[in-house]
Amino acid sequence: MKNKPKAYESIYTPFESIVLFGTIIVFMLLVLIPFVTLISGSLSNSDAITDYGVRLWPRKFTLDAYRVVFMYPEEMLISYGVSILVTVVGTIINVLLCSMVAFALSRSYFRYRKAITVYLMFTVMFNAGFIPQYILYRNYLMLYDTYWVLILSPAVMVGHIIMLRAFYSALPEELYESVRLEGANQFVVFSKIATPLILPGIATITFYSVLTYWNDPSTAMLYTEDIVPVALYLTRITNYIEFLKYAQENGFAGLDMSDYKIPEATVVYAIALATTAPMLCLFAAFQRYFVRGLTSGSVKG
Amino acid sequence: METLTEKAVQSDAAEFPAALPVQTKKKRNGVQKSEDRQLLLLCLPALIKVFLFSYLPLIGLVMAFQFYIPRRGLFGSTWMGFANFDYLLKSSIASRLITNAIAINLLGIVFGTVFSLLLGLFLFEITNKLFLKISQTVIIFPYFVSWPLVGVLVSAFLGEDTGMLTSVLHSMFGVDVDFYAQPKYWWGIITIANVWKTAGLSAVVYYAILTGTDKSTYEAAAIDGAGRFKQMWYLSLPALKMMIILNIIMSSANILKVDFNMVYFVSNNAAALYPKTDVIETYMFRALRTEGDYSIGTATGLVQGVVGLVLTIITNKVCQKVSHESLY
Repeated sequence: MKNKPKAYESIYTPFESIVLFGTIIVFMLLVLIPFVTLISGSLSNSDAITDYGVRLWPRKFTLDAYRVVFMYPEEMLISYGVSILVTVVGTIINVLLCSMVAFALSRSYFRYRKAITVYLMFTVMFNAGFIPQYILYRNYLMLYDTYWVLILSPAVMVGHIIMLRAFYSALPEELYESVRLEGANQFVVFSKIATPLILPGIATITFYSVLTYWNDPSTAMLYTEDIVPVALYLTRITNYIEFLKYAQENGFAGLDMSDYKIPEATVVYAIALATTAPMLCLFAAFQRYFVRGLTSGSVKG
Repeated sequence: METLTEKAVQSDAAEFPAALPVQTKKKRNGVQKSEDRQLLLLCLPALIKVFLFSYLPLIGLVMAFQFYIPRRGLFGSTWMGFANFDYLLKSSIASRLITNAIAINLLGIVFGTVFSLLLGLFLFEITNKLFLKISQTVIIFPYFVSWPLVGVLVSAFLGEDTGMLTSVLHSMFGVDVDFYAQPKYWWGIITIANVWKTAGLSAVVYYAILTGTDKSTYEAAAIDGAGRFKQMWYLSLPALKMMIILNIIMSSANILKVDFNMVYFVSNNAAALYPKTDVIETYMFRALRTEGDYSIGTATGLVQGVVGLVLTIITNKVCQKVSHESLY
């Protein structure tokens, strides 16, 4: 990357340029088209798309779907609140705990290094599965339907520890040795010396962590009832609409729902976009760190 | 960006610390002990969390050998021996779950590797900075969206009336396909969604590894008249070979583990599609949340866990042989 391109490098034969640029552009289009479809769907008239289907360009442009979404924004705002709370607190805990462990494991003179590594790796290789976890959280740890289960359950991600350990190990050993001679406390070495030097690594892991918490619907599906994060809000709405459709067609509990106007696919598209927007902004801002962390983590995994 | 080789050299250096300055043995032991204690304290919160959330649930695995009734609890339920496992193997459930998991994973490994390699190798040949930046940003973007959103995207294409693909098939070819009622398409659809979401990111990783390799061999090859695609085949691909092999070996350890969110949300949990989309994770989820069949669900999970553990140990040995270094 830092090497300057040599003159011959930027000369392409027509065949080469078609294959190289063509393939990449095609893949880019494949990535972008679904999003364009979604945006166009959310801006279309819902009757028109039921009759003719979604296209890349909105059919009978309208903002109705967004009007429906933002007419009663309370539930979605609550979901946003839940997700922000869980993501912020969870990320702080995860990054703090992971960096503490990673620092300790990066010290070659640490006696329990091997034992703790095995202890952590085992949980990756073998776990009890949803059901024993569910029973434990619900009956014994009293975490069912609490914010804590969403915050704590994903925390201490082993992949993050391995990546951070690589960052700590990459610091020059002389640095540690000199402060060790002065008899510095390991907590001080961790918090005042080592961690400030690997801030790019911390940033990467923070970003990873935010991504994991924000895009995690399954923890909430398994262990909460009334707490609905944004990732799951979308699913709840979709299921609700499907239920209404079913009830309208087949009748439900003797209710006549034939007059009721069900929010259509367009509303689902609008909600899908509204719940993805924050991730989009984060992506734009922190994309660099993400890629950097990936490549450094792959060296010493 | 720091190159990978530099990083590797640095971390190698970290493994061999400079000799400790001369100290009396006794003093060093004392220092060592207090250092160990402090470092252990740093680990403690994480160790406790892992114990509570990952080790304690292991006790619950006894449910696999019981007829578990929530009211009676773990210690009051009737013991069944291996009856739950017998049931799983004799019914068609086990073979369905395992076939689907292996199919979805194998397709994912093959197509994921091919597409990400192709893109990574091609990106490496691009010298236009702006194009490089834009294309990287675009292709890794899907990695950042959630699986529920991918599920909505899939439905925007395949939905009954509204879907783009279904409506095009209907209006142009007069074919009506109800995708959400036809299991046969779904290994393919899940694989497409899988590759769509992850291939871009792997491609960028491959690209980043290539930028860390020695450029001079490429210059020599170019002077000798090797074309771009020859260089790709003889220089770039071998540079990635080890990474690809390790990736494939490691994924094969997880051959029975499928991303729950991927399968659940892409197939929209449609019951009609279970013959091709039901995997161990989704089956356990239903056993827990809809059927309340805790013992069978736990037994399924236990089979998956044991197979996974054995495969991980084997693949780690293989990886050691292949790369002469342990993965962990």
